[in-house]
Amino acid sequence: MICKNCLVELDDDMKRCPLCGTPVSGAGVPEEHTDHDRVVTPGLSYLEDAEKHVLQRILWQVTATLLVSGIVATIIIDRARHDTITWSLYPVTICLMVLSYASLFAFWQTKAIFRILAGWLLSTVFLIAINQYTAPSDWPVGLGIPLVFAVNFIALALLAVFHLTKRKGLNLLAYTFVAVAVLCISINGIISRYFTGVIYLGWSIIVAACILPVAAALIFVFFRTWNNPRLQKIFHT
Amino acid sequence: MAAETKSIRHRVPGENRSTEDFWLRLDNAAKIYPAIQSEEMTAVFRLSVVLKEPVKISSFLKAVSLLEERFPYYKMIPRKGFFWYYLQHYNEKIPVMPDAGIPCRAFEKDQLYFRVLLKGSKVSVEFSHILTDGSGGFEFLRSLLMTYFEVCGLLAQGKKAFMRHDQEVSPEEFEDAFGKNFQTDLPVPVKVAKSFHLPFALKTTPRFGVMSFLVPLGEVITKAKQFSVSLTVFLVGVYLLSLQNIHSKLAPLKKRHSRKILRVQVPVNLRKMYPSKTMRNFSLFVTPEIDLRLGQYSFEEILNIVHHKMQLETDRKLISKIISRNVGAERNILLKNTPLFIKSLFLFFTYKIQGTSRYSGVITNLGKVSFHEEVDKFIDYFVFIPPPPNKTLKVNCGVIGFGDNLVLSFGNISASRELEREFITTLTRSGVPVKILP
Repeated sequence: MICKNCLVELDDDMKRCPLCGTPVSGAGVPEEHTDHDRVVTPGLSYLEDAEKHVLQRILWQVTATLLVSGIVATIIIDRARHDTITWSLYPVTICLMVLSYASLFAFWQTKAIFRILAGWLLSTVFLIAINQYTAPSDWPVGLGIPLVFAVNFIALALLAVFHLTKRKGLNLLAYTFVAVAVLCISINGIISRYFTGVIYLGWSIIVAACILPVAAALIFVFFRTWNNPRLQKIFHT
Repeated sequence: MAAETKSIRHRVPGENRSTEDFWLRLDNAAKIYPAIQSEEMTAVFRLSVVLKEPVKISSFLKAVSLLEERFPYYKMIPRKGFFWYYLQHYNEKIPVMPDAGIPCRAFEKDQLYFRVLLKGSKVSVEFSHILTDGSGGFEFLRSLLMTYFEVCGLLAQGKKAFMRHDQEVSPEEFEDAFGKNFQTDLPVPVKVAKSFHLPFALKTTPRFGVMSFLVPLGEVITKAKQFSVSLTVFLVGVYLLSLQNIHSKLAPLKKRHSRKILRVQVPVNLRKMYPSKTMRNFSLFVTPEIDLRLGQYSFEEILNIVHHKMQLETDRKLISKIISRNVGAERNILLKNTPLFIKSLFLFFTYKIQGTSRYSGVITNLGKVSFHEEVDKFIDYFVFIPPPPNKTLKVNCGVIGFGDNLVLSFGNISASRELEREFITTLTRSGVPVKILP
């Protein structure tokens, strides 16, 4: 039996040509051919999770070693020169705060939002405790706590945006840039408010003006390459 | 290699995950096509085989389905990167469709860049040059046909002379052989002068038309042997002679102002020179030429020049120099870091201005092909239709032989058939009978 349209040879039991769909004279029921089997690769997520945790711990070890070394060195230098702790209090505070965040992220297996909130709380407690240890002043309330608040609030907002973003690619980098710009403006505002009593934005506006066009370009590339969010493919040279 | 997969066969068959994972950089020869291809200049070539019996559709579709996962590197679509285009795996079924008779049509966006077409006893495959060259496309067709014959029970199991459907996909099959055989610090080839182009007016769109001619292979080879040259040299000689005849018929003023160098581009399959199993593009060109400023040439003189020029230019060291120039340009730090839209504009205008300005025509000879004695008896002849030529070249020619049948196909976008007429008349005058194929 030959198809009238494409002239190929049909099987005797075919009601229509599977190539062009032309019905064999006297037949009306379309014939469908089935999909052939496809192999589906099994997921490997549990292995990836284990690998991720090992990597996190190694990163924490490196971070902790560097921070503790920094703390010890700073205190030794400060004490050697002034016989007491003076300026080293500030870098030590910052190092301890970073260490608390690193530890929470390395060892507390919970949602990122809880880890950030816990880090925020710990940082605030650090600031207050250190202020109590030294001669109490207004810098924790006027400067330290607002800065910690700004950093954590923006980080949480960024995390929420990441979470709500369904398609992840260059857009995440763009959002991070925007967050950095907002953070710079906040830091600039908080510092100027503490020292001068008024909010004066200077350097942060320049930083934002530089960062935001980059973020806009990244967003543009992201939507331009909507179907291909993998960076290696898009940016190979 | 970009999509470094040790065993593609085991990863690609999955759905979305593998589709995202498997991608390839364009090979050196393919890089220009996304920038210059259009509805008319499609960069699509066709390979057809005409069997002695109509195709059994159920067996054929089964053969196609058996091959679904054998050629993952052809199931790709070009995508825009920031610096270059790349090929993204697209896990669609191999498209099989009735042959509507219009060869080398452009592929739609988000469609696989190859297709299988059927009409009666004729099986055709069409590939975009972005994916592969004629040799790669032919290997696919060979595999498809042999699988079909195997499904039909016409071929004993276990024949290994083709890429079997149950065979593992080797990464060598989708390697960029240009990059692999690239040598640094080689001198740049000498720039050649612009050449004569056919003075014909273009047809209105759609422009591309094909005429195919069947000639007895044995008789052409006998003629070639009379001049002690190969079949390819003989055909290139006929092509140059036809161009010379067209040039000599020009009106005196036009002849005076036209370019006098007749140069033909002849693709060379580099797999024969470099050990490579690649199924992607791996060919370059040699360019035999005659210079009419030195006077008119006899057919013997043309054959002599073509013979020696082809011997000279197929020297491996000279080919290395051309690979080095082409790949070197691609790896130039400035060029490779230029955003794609600028690069595409640059490639488009460079091709527009220079493109084929240094060639008068193209003739691609895929040579005499043979499958296996068990199945050769079921095949009548093959046809190779090269991609539509551009507005400068206007005409090109594809040649393929099987058994005692040699098929010459002329792709033409001009309103004139003068070149075909000259070419065929030269053959018939030398005593070779020519039959026009439907």
